[in-house]
Amino acid sequence: MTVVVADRHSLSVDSLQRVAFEYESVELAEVARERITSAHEAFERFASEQPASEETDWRERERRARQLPAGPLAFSGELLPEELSRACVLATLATVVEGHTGAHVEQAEALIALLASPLPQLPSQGPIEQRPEWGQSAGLANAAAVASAMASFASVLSERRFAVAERVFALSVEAFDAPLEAYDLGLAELWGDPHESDALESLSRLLEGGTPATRRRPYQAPVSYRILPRVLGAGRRAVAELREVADGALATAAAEPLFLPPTELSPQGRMLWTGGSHQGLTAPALDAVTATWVDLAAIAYRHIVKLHMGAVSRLPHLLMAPADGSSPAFSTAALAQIAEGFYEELRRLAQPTLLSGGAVTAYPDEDIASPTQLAFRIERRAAKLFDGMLAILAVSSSQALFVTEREAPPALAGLLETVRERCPPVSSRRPLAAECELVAAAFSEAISAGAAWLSR
Amino acid sequence: MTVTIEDRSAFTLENFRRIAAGGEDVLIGEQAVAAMAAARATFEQLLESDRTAFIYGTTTRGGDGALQRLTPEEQREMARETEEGRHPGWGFGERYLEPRVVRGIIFARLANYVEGHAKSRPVVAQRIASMLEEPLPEVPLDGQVGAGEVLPLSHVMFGILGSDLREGEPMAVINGSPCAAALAADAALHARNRLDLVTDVLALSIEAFNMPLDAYGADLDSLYGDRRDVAAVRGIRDRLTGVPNQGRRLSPAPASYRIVPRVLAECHRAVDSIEATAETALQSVTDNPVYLLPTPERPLGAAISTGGYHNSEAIPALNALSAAWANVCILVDRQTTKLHDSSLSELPDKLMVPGSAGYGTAVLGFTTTSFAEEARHAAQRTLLPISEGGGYAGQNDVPTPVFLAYDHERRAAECVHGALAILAVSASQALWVTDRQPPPALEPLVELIRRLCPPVKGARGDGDGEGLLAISRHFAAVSLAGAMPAAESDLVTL
Repeated sequence: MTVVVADRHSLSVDSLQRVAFEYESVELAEVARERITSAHEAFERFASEQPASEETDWRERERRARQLPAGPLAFSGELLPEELSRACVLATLATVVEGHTGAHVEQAEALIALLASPLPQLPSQGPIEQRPEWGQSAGLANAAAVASAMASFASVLSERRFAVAERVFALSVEAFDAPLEAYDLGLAELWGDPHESDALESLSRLLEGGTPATRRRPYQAPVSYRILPRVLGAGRRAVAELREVADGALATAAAEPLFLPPTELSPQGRMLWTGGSHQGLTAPALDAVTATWVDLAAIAYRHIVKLHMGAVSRLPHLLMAPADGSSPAFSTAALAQIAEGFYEELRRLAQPTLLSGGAVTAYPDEDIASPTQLAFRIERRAAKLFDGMLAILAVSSSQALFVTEREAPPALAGLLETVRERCPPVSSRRPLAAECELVAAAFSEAISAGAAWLSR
Repeated sequence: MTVTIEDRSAFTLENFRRIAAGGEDVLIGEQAVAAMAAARATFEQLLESDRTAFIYGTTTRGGDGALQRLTPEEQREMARETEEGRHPGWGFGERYLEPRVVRGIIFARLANYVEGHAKSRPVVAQRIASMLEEPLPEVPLDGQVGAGEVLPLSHVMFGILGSDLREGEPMAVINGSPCAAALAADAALHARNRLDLVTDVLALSIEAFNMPLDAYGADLDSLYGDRRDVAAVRGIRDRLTGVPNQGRRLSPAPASYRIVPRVLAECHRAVDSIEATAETALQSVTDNPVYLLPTPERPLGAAISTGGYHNSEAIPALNALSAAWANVCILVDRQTTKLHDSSLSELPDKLMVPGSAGYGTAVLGFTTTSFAEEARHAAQRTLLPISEGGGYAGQNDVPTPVFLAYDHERRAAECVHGALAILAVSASQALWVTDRQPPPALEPLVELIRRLCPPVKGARGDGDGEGLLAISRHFAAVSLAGAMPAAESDLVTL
């Protein structure tokens, strides 16, 4: 399949998912080619007709922007997935496709052609927009496009990660034998929040066919179980807002400088320096998703501990299989120690990525930097830790069902199978941490690949 | 004036403003009285239909008492014990909620009642409403992070708990999340006005810096794909209407000026979010246990245990607002520095009258840095704690930190007022020293600034700090009231 780009509004998280994650190709619509060609011709006329004083100003700045004084400025660190490189290339088209860079149509085609071959993975440290292979125009080395790409990339993965999280939490609810009334659909109208309503509906669907309400724990579960729909609702909001911000960012023509093709009022066209390269909304939206992983990890951590506390859960203490006697070595209880490490690191990651406090470089106009790339990097780290936390909760829940000889609800059977293939129920001494890591890797892989079970 | 409440649709942000900040009272309407009486009647039937069924705090005690069913006589006795068992609240500290916030909590509390979900008699709701006509309880700001909102509500509702409550009624008084609703609503009351103020001062700074207008032009409206970006750039442009387009600087402008609309877009998003969160929270029924009204499937209704008392939306919304204010302070810090640096601003050095002694307004830059740095701290995210405090057999394992998030937002906002005062004085000075006029829309603002902190002709005088404090206080007042003063007497005085 091919994504046909006619204008900025052809770009969205959905189209980026097709191009970046599903490796679909991109084609410029004829209307876009004509528009780029026309804008390029206007740009050439504009450049040759400017009075000296103004020309000096914008030409000098564009000249500097074109120069990469030290080559690519990305430094090192984790190599980001090739999908992100593809996302960056696609996002750059937002400014190109309506002629706002003044680029020739061949430059646009060359940019698109990059998507036909494997792209280099980008290092995570440093301003990664400074890539000479993306083109020599300042409009093509575009921090705003990278921010759009990162927000969109994170949006796709966050929605999938959230789907995994809801399933694992539902499995935990079932494993704890929590009363279902805290997930009653009647609460949706009382709370009045669409995201909380969606969380209630999702939990109800996932728990359908599990232990009937009349045979469950006869009194309320701990707070961490009862507040789950509200915390999941807040998470759903953060993930939805990231998509909204990413969609808006992708559809924004934002470059420095920005060429406005001729209009009746400006027959020559205009060159603007707008600050457009700074996407102000992307970092806060990424931060909110990071905080979601942290708050959900807090709930997961409480669940892990509570599942193993027999006095609270009314399940076998430490979730030990009866045949194992009293040795805690054959329990999943010790996994909580790993969870504690994940959680404490996650809390430290959840701080907001604010604007930089001092001059960025000695260039007089660079006195403040966009924190989106930092926010993106932090969200990735938080997400990885969160996957680990979910794996431990899933393994603990699997164990709880095993020691009480209960089944998972039908909608969660596939998840339970995924978990048990890598970490079967524990009734003997085994390298549990390594097995949990396999479960975490399976979750991460399912999220990266968009596994089918996430959408069922 | 009195706000009459018939159902939950009355719990709007506007009514919150009237009652909390405007001092109006509440009248429970006839429709609400009838709904509560009917719900109470069916709840009593439900209770009598099976007194062994689990109803938290009614057929069991609260907390760890939830494990054990009470006999019918014990159930009746427990409701009567409420007066003896009540506690005037556990939180303590030197700081207290503003009275308007306490009024807001009382108002928000009634949302659970007016349609019958509190399973309480109308008289209880009427007593709560009447609290608005009496001296208000003092509610500490500190020590209120626990599971649900029992801690602060014990302070607010102490008087109600002392009245003759019946089965099922005590828990409805102190459970639920009306505090989160009121704290979010109080932040929302200020947020839009504060955003207007921020936009005013940043626009003034833009004009003072003699920025090219391209970065705020109408061309951008159609180029931005996000409505918040568009709203932000329009806000700046509206305030710059009438300024000359010619004779503006040509050399590269600092990013801190060019990106103003894009940073303001974050503020717009945060303000939209806190307003929506507050409106939803005010109208929410959040009790535990909550009474679901009768339906054909549940002819006597149902009293179910939920986590409604934990408002998950208010905390991130307050966090987002704090971060947005911090970014404003950081931007203001950069602009204050740039205005005073003649090599960048093309304005007189340190904004001084050429040849005069001292440092002019330049030293104010130090102070903006203080506000920016403190705002950074205030913007640190409030997360869910995982304390088992108030453990009760493992029940209360996730507290709600909404008081903390509110406190942080409040401090970040105070930093905004201080930082804006400095930038406003600096921008006023820049216009004065270059003999330029402010944009027409900002003339009242400049007039106010110059009355409280006149332009500097030589070395700074001793009263500068007092003038800045007066402007900062004025900005705080404007954030609540939403308008510039019309008369001298309306000015916030030292």
